[in-house]
Amino acid sequence: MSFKIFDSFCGIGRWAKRDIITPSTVDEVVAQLDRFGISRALVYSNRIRQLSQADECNQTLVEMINNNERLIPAFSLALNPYEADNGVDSCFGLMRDAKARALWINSPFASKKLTHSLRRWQLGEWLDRCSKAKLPVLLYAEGLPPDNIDTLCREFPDLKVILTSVMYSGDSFLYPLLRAHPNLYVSLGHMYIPAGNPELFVRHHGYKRLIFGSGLPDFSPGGMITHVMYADISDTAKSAIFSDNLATLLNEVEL
Amino acid sequence: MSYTLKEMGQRGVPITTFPVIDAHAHFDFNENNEAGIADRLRRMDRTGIAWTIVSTGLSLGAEFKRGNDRAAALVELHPDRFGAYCHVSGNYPDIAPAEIERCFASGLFKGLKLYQTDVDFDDPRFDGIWEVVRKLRIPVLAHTWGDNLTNFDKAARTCPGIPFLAGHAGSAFAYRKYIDAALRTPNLYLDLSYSREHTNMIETMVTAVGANRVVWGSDVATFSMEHQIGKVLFADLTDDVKKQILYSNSAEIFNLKFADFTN
Repeated sequence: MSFKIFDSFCGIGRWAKRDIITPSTVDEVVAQLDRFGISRALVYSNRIRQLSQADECNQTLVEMINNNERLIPAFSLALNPYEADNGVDSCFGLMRDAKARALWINSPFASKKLTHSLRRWQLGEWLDRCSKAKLPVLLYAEGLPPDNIDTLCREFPDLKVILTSVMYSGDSFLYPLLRAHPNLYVSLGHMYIPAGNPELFVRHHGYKRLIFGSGLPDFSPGGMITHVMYADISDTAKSAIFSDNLATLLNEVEL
Repeated sequence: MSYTLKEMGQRGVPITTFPVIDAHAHFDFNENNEAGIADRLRRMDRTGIAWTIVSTGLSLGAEFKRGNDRAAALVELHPDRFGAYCHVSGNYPDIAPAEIERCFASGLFKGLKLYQTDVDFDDPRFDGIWEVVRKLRIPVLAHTWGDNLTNFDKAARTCPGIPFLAGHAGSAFAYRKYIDAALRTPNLYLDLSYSREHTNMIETMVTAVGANRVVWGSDVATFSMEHQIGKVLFADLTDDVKKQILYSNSAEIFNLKFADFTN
């Protein structure tokens, strides 16, 4: 049986520290999607990893996507402390126009350089709006203290949070978080590959909270595909992980 | 119906065209029971991994004899599915050479496993180990990481003609270090076990050093063997090259015969 694949963790465009063997342009990334049979991808601008101006990154993201229906925009948090609402209205307007379906609230590959708090005092307007719009937020977990994740979920219980880049050794903090916070989801990308998974995850948490992700362009999707395809789980579970779970989340968005 | 290796990965069907060899794996406490071993074998069968060579966490933690005995016991239970690495350390030069000799006298061990323990592999503390390696002509797998091969390649050059496998080649995206080390060390092999799957990295390594010096290992049960095999199945390489990486290179290194396997 073949499955549609919807990638939750994919970057497009150039960034400063790119290695020459890593694809970067939209065409190169789309060619990778084709090669691996990935039908759609939730994409962010690679420039954001250098903590560049988020609003400009969002603008160039839309330009790069250029109405390609396979690429779904995930904007980056564009805080504006000089506006009373911290930049929320402006960004949500742009997201609505661009048909964005998710929001990164820290930068991929830069979580150790968190430049803002994830607490209500800093992000309250943003995350209340995301909760109301059912807009999922993406959170890059590698290097992020698990307490930050717990606090975020406690302060915003209706917020859908998709964790990316959870280490294969992260179950010690991930499982209690998943038990405590029903709106927490986990992307496979780029290294959530504990041995015995995804069977173990499905046994403990069901199959509706695990989401396919690759980490393109830095990380190739092949291993993630076989991680699911060789798993001893039902076709329903595989389909859910490969695409249905993410599609369901994104279809609920009401910007 | 015959599939390409990529199609086998896409369909989740076991690789049956040749016996896949996992050259870098572990076997530990929570699997060391009937159910754990059965689960490991089931997973191997679902992917088509015919034979796996293991070391244990006990040995990594310097309990060499107990750890190596645990690996040996697994081989005794399933000699057609598992081989064992004898794991020692240069931090214990007084006992390491004798432990290697003890292990290999049993006939159950196929290679030597070393970990990075803040001692460079060409440190005099390893001299006794390399002496035994040369005497018994034992393949060596060492944990290496990122920019720091801890002179594993230098140690390899003191044992010409004996395969030295640099574990986690390309880790932290330092693939050029590994390629450079392999180009100056004819008996250095690049072991692919690594949690990340950097785009185009395997292809780059194969182009630079040749397919005959790239070897597949999963590092299970640190992480998913099913993920690790996909890195090769989907690589932009011919099926002949993938077969070398998944089977024939390791078959030569560990002197394994096809007829030994039943798939």
